[in-house]
Amino acid sequence: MQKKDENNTRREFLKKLPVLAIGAAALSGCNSEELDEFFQQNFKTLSKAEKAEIIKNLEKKYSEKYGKEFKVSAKPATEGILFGYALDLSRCIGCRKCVYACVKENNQSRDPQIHWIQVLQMEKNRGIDLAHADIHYNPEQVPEEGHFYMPVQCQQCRNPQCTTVCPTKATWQDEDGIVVVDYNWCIGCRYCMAACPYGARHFNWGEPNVPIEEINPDTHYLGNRPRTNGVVEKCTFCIQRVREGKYPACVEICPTGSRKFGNLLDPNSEIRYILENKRVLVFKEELNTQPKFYYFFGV
Amino acid sequence: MYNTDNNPRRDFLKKIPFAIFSIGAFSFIRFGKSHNLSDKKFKTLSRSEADEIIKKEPFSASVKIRPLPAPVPKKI
Repeated sequence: MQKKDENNTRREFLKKLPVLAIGAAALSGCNSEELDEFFQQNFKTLSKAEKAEIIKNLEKKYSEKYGKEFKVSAKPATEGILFGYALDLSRCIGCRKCVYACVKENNQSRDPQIHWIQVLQMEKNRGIDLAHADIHYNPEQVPEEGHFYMPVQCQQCRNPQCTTVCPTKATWQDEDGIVVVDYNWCIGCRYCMAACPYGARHFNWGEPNVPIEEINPDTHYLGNRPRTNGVVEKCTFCIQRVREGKYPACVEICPTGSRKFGNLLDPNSEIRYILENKRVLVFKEELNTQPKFYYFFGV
Repeated sequence: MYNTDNNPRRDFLKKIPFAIFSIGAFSFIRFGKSHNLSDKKFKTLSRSEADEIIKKEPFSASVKIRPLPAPVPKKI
């Protein structure tokens, strides 16, 4: 009886051998950089030196892969800045220039196609009616008679449900209000996609396909750096641009000047002027997500 | 010999009133940045008010251009 309780160490060892062999084979297939990447901690918890080391490795990896000098920034948020966005519904003509400027700037996959901005065409006599909105409109010319256009992207909520549900804390709201994703920590569970009421998060079902000649080498670790399949991505207000003092690509490209961007904490900013003087609404206000993306009527 | 000086459960229970008092006394201190702009009054509209504006105002745009391609419909 006593013998039964004892650990048969030889048998246990032999049982574990196949597992060990598979593990050893898997590890031998990885080089040291891949292993480092696999065991990398959450970006928020890393020290400055660790971040610098990771950035250096990524720049080297991307430069070799794409044959271009890559810059991966890890510039943190600046104190005293809270980014906000305003879009003039009465000016937007639905030309989709913002959609493709965003695709180009942020290295979004062309095939399978990922668009962080979706322009909804709605009928004026129905008002804001999602049930009858169309994103596949394709007339000869826009704006079409009797229609208005409502571009939708990440609303950079103050109360973001997507970050709350993330089981690995791979997504969070930075101090300047931008909701970011650490692609190395995203496990692709898509809980955040289910939680987002704006359909603003997109999953890479396949390896993202961006033509090498079109890749944008000015990137940010938490923004437009090349992604892999199995991770979720979203609009970051062009974090690689706005943290350097530039406007997001969609703001720059808009031919009608419908898009406004600025610091909500600066009482003299254009965005604050709009909030204080124009008629403003937030999308799905009833959900209490508290977006920092405002729609307004300039007329 | 039972050591009555070191009774963690009793110590914990003893400290509860102090903890509650401290929370109350120091509740005016806010940690972190609020960033909520709650003290500002903005002209926010409800959806029905926005719908009224959309229906009443024509927003006639003089610019007419060809839109860029529509997104590829997703396969279900």
